[in-house]
Amino acid sequence: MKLNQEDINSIKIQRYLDGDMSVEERNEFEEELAADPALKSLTDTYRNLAEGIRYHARQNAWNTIQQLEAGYAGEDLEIVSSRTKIFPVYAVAASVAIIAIAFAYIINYNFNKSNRIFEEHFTPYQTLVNGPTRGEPISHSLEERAFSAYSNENYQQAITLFHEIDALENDPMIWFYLGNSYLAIDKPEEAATYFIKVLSQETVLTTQARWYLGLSHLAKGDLDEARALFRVLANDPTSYGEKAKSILSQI
Amino acid sequence: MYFKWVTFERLCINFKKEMTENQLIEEIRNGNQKLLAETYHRYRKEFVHWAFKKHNCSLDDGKEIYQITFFIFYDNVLSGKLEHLVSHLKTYLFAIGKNKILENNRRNNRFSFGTKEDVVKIDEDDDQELQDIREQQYQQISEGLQKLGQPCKGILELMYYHNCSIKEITERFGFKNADTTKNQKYKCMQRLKKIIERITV
Repeated sequence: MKLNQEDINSIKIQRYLDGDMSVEERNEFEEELAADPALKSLTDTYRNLAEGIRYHARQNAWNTIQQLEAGYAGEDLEIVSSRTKIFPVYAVAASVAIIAIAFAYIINYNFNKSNRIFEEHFTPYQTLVNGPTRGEPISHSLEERAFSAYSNENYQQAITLFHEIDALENDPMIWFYLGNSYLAIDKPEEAATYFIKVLSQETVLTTQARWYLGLSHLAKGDLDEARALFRVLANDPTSYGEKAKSILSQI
Repeated sequence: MYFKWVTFERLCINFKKEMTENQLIEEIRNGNQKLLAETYHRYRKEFVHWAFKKHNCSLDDGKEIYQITFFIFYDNVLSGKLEHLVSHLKTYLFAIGKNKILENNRRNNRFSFGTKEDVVKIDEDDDQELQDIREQQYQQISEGLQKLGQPCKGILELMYYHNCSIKEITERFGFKNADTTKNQKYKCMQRLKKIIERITV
């Protein structure tokens, strides 16, 4: 079957948007796009179609989850009450339990406190690199995919990809984002390891790494370690200095 | 016959006690709705209690956050962004949930979940008017996709949402080769474009 000009353009645009062109073809097509507004408009239409398909599928996924939740309509979730009946035979046991709880409370007090402060202050560091999406003619490098996962809060995937990059090169920036990713999934021990690695090098990320290492210590409940770091940071002229002072006033 | 075998095979996998969480992800990505529902149920109660006790959320807020959290997981699985877990699924879900709670606390100091607009975002950078136009366009595309029917709808969704490779789509639909699949996909997009042009006229 012979293709008409419309078919030829449609195929060419889709190959461009799907990243299916060689570098030479892509450069040539981009020159055509710059010179031909009608072709550019058609390209935008196809790009919009791809976006719409994604949106439609995501909506379906969201509807599926809403339907699952709807299955619980009318359910009464029980929350364990702190008020329970106390029988005399349990009185001694209850007294022992109260004492044990009091001790546990004292032991855990610092941890809970530091954890609360951590939660108030932790936000994963912003990405400086944006990942590509299908429909855009950008090469899918490992780094782009890693940062794309990170931006999408898919920290598990980001960790896997950052580790792959880390195996290829020693880059403090990758360690820094690995630390942030681990911190975002509640793994402050692992996070701290990477922030310490960043601080072992002279980089522009020293202040930020110090801040996140301090937060990692808070998340672990290591108040002394956290305090020492925030004291150093408190002298920093950037906003991190102010934030460190605020935390120091709470711990 | 093929369908029956696939169903039976899936049931076998469902009841295998040693099924790993990465196998579970693969099953959910392949459309196993029963397993999806089981997984949703498995962590729901504990999550809502945790949100209530540790983060002072009301039970209703906890349920809404769980829906959003689970949607993020499901969306990541379907779109191929999450293929392998490096920690337990429970840790993964609770970490997302915690971030959502904190994010929302910082933004509003109150919860405002549950609307489709909050979850299936269009483009945060656009102004409201542009968002409305885009939403209208997307609704037309949704309508167009319904009219397009199978296998075109499936091919396009696998390509653009599930981020499947041409090879995977070729295997799933049993096409002759990758070129056949690409041609089919080109035609499907052209047909969708024409259907939408007819809708908007």
